[in-house]
Amino acid sequence: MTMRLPSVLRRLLSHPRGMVPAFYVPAIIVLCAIGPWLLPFGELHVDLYHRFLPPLGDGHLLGTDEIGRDVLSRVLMGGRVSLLVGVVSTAISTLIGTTVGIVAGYHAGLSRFLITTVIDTVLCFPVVFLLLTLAAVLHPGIGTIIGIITLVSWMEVARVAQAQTRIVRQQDYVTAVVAMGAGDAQVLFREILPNILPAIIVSATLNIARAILLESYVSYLGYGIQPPDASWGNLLNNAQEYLESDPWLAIIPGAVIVLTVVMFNLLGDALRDAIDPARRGS
Amino acid sequence: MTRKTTSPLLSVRNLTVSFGGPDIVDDLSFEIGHGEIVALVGESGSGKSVGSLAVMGLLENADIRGSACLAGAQGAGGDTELVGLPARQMRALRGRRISMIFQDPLSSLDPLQTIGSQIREVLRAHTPLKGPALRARAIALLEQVGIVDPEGCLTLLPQRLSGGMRQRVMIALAIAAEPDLLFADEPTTALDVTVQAQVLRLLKGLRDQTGMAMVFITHNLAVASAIADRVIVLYAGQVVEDAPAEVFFRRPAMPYSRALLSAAPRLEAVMGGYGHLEAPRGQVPSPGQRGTACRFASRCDDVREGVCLAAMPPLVSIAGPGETNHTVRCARWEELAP
Amino acid sequence: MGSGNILYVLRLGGLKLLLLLLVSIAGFVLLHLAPGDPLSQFTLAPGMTAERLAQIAHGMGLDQPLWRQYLHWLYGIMTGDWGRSFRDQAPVLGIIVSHLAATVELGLAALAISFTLGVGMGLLGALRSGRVLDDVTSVVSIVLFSLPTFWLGLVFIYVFSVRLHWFPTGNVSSPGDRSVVGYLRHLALPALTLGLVSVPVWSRYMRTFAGEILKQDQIRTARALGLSSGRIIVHRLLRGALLPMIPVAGIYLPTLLSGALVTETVFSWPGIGRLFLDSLQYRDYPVVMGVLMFSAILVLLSSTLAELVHHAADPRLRA
Ligand SMILES: Nc1ncnc2c1ncn2[C@@H]1O[C@H](COP(=O)(O)OP(=O)(O)OP(=O)(O)O)[C@@H](O)[C@H]1O
Ligand code: SF4
Ligand SMILES: [Mg+2]
Repeated sequence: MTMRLPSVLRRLLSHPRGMVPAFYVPAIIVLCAIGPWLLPFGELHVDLYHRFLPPLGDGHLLGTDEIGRDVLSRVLMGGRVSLLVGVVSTAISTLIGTTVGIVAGYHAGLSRFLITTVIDTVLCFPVVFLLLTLAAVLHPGIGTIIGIITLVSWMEVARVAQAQTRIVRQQDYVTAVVAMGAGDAQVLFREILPNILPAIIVSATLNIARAILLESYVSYLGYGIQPPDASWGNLLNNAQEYLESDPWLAIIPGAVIVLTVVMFNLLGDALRDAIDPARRGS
Repeated sequence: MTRKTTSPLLSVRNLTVSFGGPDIVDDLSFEIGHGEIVALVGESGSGKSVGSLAVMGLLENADIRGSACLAGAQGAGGDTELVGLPARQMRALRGRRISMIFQDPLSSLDPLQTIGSQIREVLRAHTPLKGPALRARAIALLEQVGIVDPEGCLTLLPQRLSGGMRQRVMIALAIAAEPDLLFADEPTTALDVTVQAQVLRLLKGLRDQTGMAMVFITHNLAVASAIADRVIVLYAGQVVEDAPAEVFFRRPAMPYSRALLSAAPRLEAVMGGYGHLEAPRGQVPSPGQRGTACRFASRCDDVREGVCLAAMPPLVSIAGPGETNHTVRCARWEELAP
Repeated sequence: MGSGNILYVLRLGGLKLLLLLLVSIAGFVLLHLAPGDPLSQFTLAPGMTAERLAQIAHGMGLDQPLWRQYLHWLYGIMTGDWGRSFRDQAPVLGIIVSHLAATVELGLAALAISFTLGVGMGLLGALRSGRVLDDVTSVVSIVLFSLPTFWLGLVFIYVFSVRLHWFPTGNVSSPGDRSVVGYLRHLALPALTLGLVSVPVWSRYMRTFAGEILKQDQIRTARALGLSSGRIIVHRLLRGALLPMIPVAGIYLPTLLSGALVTETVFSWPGIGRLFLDSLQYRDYPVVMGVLMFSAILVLLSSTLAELVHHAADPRLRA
């Protein structure tokens, strides 16, 4: 199932389940990237005279927090961090996962056995426990967060790449190419990689969703991005304290996380259907 | 009394099936007599399965028009119109009056239940049998379909049986409630040649024993000639020829039938070899592109511009007086008759 | 054939054990290299001297080389001595066990909710394949899958406690109220939170498995034989789709534990998850390691158990 970009795009945009996330995802990225520059308040600007403003209050579209910082600015700046963590950790884990997966999938043998068993077993462990332990013992910061999320994410990609490589490797035409004396490199770059790419792209999209979610957990619990810097998770850090009086401080950033994660997940699903329409529904 | 013997068991009239798009089965009409074995032949996609499933009420999301009339059971008069019959009543007929078996017996059986439990399940649904009587009936059924160790077989899962055994079990399930009509959709296609012959003999024997009529769907003209009393040829969703078997195999009237027969290996050879139905050159028009002329025209050697392409040739009876019914859909059948 | 399968499960179990060992080494080393000395809590105590500190360090085994500390710890794990908490010197295993009940109760309630909803949604989607209801259930499943557990908890607290006053905001019970009803009212929101976010684990697999069975000829054949649709759904579809769900239970537990950690924090639920977080904050390494090991053992045991149960329950594997 090699991809033909125009037809994939057409199928993706032909259904609301593909079209909506296909517009949302670039929009939120652009918004977070340039939004903070366009807003009058810096995300760190403290204004103790205007604390706990409700949404739409006094020029603050989404209100202000407990020390009078503009929530919209903080949500957009937090989005930069959260999206960056999602995208960068996904990029690295996709690279690692694809490489390991291809190695394991290409030849049957000890390496495949070891890699698959180790991955299957590690994936059994409760992820959040691992993440928190790692986050707690390392120096907090964006690099650490990216590193540990990568550490728990690449295995999922490797699993997909491994399974796909095995399928492609067993195709008759690949067997024929090998039989005609093609070298490993040629088979790898000409046959395997282009054929497993669609599945990898889908897996990466879903992985971004997961990474954003994981970042929010770790930061919410206080082991991720440290205040005063914003991330979508740590905006909710002490929102629980003000839940009774100022619920939007919890509701707004959370809603943004949900919306964005849903959209990445929808995009992944829709991409899968668009790349391989026959699979739809299974 | 006399009506019973002359009126057909199943009478399908102008049956048309679509799934929201073009008509897949188009104006299908045929009759099945009591105890008659009819072979339904045609290339892949001609609508054999869809037509049968429509009669069985097993199609979902299908738009079904026309009529399929099932004669009342022996003793109980009153015919039943199957098209549009409420689901509950249709279910009461399935298994008891009309039943169906399919090509792949392994995927047709429940992989998690023993053979015994599956037979009992069907018997409980249709008969008041209980306890030892139920078991005895299950064993009798397995014996009837030629299973050597019926008691042992009861405790086995489908995966432990050979393909032929599985199809025998499937047949036992289908005839458990002694239906009057059995649709068999390519029941031997998945089997080895020798096993195929055994299953064909079994089905024919069952008919002789019980008087159950059968619609036998197949790609394979040799199989059709081995079992059928009558042959109905479907082409692109329509009946194109309907003839008694001995007439059909000796002098088919429709050019398509002739092409099929001449493309198939010699019959005598086929009887041993079971060659599949060889299609004549060209392709069947797909449901959307069937047009209003003779649907076989694009592949017919005898096509004539005016006659064949002007309109859809009707299905006409060509049986002489006193002969059994023989219909054909071809504008030039008279000229082409040998 | 059956014994071969069981051997396979056991061999996987052995591998898991080996991995458990590796994980424990990695975790142990990591925690001990971490910044923040467990002794730091004592240094500020009034009248603390260097000798006294050394004494405490010695008492806690902190002056030994790392590998000896590890072996000592591992030996303890296997003999039931899981060390003592840095915080209050209580035995780690005892602390864990005393927090277990709360997590198990929460987990079981959440399991009941998520299993029922998940199986129902998956079944519905499969039966209405390709139609609106299939789309709806799959979108709902994606949304639930995308919800940060803590946020859902906060929203529930806001809506059901702060606004509607239907349920208390958290904790296992109100002061002075020891009634069952009181307990259940406290359990409701955390269980609902944890239950809802883990629905997709069940619904997605159920949708797939049920969809596969519906595609098989056996459903059409059962209908052709005149079996009732109720019987077909229960005996063929449900039975056939639930069987491969047994191993999913093994996958489910880690999801549940991760979710429990967050849920317990939001709702002040005194279970293993909160214990873990508290201990992490206090750098109470013995307890942190203890909880990590405990949950890892739990997950491995449950997945092995699930595989064994699956082998016992599937007649094709038993034969
Ligand atoms: N559920 C369905 N929805 C839409 N189209 C269908 C459906 N079932 C069958 N068809 C279409 O109906 C046509 C006839 O199919 P059918 O299965 O009846 O052919 P057949 O004669 O039995 O062929 P074969 O010998 O391959 O079994 C095919 O073109 C098929 O694609
Ligand atoms: S009508 Fe014409 S084209 Fe059609 S089968 Fe007869 S001769 Fe051939
Ligand atoms: Mg068919």
